[in-house]
Amino acid sequence: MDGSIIKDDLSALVEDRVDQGVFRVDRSVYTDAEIFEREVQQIFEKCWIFLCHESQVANHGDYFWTEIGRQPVFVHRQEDGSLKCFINACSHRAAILTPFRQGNAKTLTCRFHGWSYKCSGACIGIKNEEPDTDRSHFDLREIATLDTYGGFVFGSLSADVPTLDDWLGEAKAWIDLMVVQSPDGLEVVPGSSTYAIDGNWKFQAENSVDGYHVSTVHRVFAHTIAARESRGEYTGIKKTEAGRISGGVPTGCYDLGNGHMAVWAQHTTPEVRPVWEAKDRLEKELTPGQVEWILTKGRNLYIFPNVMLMDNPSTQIRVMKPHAADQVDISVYCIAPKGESDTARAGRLRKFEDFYLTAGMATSDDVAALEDTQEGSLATGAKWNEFTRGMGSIIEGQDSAAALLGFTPAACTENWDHEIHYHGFYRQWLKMLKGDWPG
Amino acid sequence: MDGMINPPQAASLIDDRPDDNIFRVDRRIYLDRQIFEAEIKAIFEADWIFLCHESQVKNPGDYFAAHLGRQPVFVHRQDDGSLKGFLNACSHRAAILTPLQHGNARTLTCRFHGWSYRCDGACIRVKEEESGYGTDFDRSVFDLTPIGAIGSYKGFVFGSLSSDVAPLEDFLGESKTFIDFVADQSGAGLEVLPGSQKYVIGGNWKMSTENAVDGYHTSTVHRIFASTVRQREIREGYEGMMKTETGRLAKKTVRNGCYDLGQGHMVIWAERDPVSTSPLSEAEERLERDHPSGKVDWMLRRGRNLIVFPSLMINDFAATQIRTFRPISADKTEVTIYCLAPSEESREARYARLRKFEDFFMASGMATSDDVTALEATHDGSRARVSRWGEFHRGLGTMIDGPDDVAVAGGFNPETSNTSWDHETLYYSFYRRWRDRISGL
Repeated sequence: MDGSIIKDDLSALVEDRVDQGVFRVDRSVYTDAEIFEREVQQIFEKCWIFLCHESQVANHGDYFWTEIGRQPVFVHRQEDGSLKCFINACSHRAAILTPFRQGNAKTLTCRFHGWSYKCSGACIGIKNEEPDTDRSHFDLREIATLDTYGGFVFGSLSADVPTLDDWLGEAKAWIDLMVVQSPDGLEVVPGSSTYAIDGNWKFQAENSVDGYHVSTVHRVFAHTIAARESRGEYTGIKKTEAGRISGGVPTGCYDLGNGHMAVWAQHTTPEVRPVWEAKDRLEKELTPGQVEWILTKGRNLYIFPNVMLMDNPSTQIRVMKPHAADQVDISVYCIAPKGESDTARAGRLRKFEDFYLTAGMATSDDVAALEDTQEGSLATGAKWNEFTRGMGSIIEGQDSAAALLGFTPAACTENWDHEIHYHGFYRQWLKMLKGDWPG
Repeated sequence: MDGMINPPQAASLIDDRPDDNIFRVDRRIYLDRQIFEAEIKAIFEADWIFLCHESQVKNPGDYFAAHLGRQPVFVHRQDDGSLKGFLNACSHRAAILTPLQHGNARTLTCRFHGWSYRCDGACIRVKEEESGYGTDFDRSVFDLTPIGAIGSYKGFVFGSLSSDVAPLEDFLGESKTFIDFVADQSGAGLEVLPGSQKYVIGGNWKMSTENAVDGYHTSTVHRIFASTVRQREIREGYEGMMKTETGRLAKKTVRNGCYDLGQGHMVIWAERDPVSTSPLSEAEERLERDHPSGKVDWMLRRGRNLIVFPSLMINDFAATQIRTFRPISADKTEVTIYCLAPSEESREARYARLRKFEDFFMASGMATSDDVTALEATHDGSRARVSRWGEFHRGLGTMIDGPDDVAVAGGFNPETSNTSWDHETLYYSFYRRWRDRISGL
């Protein structure tokens, strides 16, 4: 097409001049269909993509259907306990093989023409088969790479990726903060919510670690829960801290490298957190830094490009599935330490429902803000999105909170209102878009 | 300009040979995505486009959100009474600033991160400014971006993303007289009545523009409307203003015609019969006193549909209406309609005007739905590419260059006139201007 942005210099989309106090992004990155196509090919079909949590495929035959970029795939638990991931398309005529989003089937039979596949991907049944058919020719296509970290399952359509350990890098310390909360690990609680946002996936990625919007977009949520708490309802573990949402507590933001980002905010009443009941054990088993981070710092972690892990009033996995430049599907799951008390689990779930899900009191406000942002981005006469907040207070490497836990961010500031963590995100995004990754 | 259709290619889309009794358009113009992109760029994001009526932004702080092409914009009434237009996007992260389609806000505060802008576009508050940007932060860098041009003619507000446009009055040309025929009906001015309706048509915007000044379809598409209304009026004894003139729709017993006003503006008209069906008839004496009788004939005694290029319709037939067509894609058009009325009319006239407005127009009306069906069928049929041409040569034999007798009496000077509103000669300057614009001319 004429006038294509792609034909021009991709680097011009991100104005990265931190030394001159400028970091901004051309708003067409959220609206341009060609840029989106390139993102699918260069990012989603090449990068490590979060697939599911191991607890969602706990037993032999358990499958979980998701997407890598636009390609449907499913994870299948093998007889020997290992995991495989296949392209979710019958070898005959491409029909989706999994009857549900998740379920158990040691053999998957296609509902179109009845071909069957074993857990291992082997084609084991062809309806009205001709003699001498070599069924192995029709085995399912396995994706190129699969690995797990702390129970979180990642895969890639490309074999040319760094090890998952290297890819996750500094984000691992943040994943650990969730994983070690129970000696038995984590489990995804049954149920999920999926909703579509008429907005670009990067708005959701940004929003995942945007402390600055909280006191504006979630003001009404904060008022509502403050009013509820002032009436003496929702005490103890059921309490969500309204004060934290309105501001005025220690906070911070991190560029963790590889496009991963994180923000945190201090809990003023950590004893209302469901994990508080495990305090004694945590203090026995973990470093003081880990204990302080787990109990007193609410955290949002974004792992490039498609998943967010959240341990704030409640705990959550949020998965982004981009469908078009202006459309992304979001699925949210509550994740919890195995073996926590019924009281803690109830508190966790009620707070999960309060804030998140389309039925929650806060997510709907986020969605409205993100859709407004998509619409406003069409005003190309105002070209730039600003990411300059906090550039005067950048710390290269660790601040004191990072040193306490023992991870080394690329950069940080001691304020979650700031925007410097997005610099790492957009640098990774640009590098991949240009085809300069993994290098 | 990038992305334009090269001039020979654009010329090949309009077979413009009236001397050979041919005027036809390639049906690709309704379907092609590249042509659509060129239209957005060269017409909707460059020409004067109708934004709102002044009565919709009457008081300081009143805002009205609209679009120029794909770009969201809003009009804001200033403290000094003037109007400004801005891109509707926060300077921080692009979120739409107007909380509602229209409302009043002296200061607009972004609902995303809380930045605030004064009526004049100045960025006056940045949430947590000092902790984010230090003490020497220059907020004016983040003032809102004004649109290229804004102007108003007799209460109708137009804007352009480009500052390189002709003066609004030059752009409006001969269509001004037809705006006057509506705007001058009231000494107190016109007002857009509360309420509006939006609906989306699965068809190209140009078909909606054509339809707005297409007299030829009425006796077919609106036949059922006409017979329904007549039955009802007979049964319920509607008289005077409450009556809808169905005879005009069913068969041509009254004089009618069409004008190519030049520059892509077009009009169809028909005599009212009887004039007493018009809510405006109550003002006949005042009009006769204040205006020349040739003009009163046009204001009161003739129903009119006006298209101002490219997508504004001002309708004064059974009721009075502003209708805009916003192109979403080659095959999708958002229509917004408002009822427009003289401010000081009687309750009885207002009542009749509104009931007739509801009767015919809106997605819930008895006639608009038939139009939508016809336009969607037309869009679908245009995909049959083997038959290439949409025909516009009806009435070429009776076309008059310049004004006819009633145009002379009305004091306007069309490019061509024609003897029947069934004719199609009025579309010529529209498609010529369209062709030139998408060629980047």
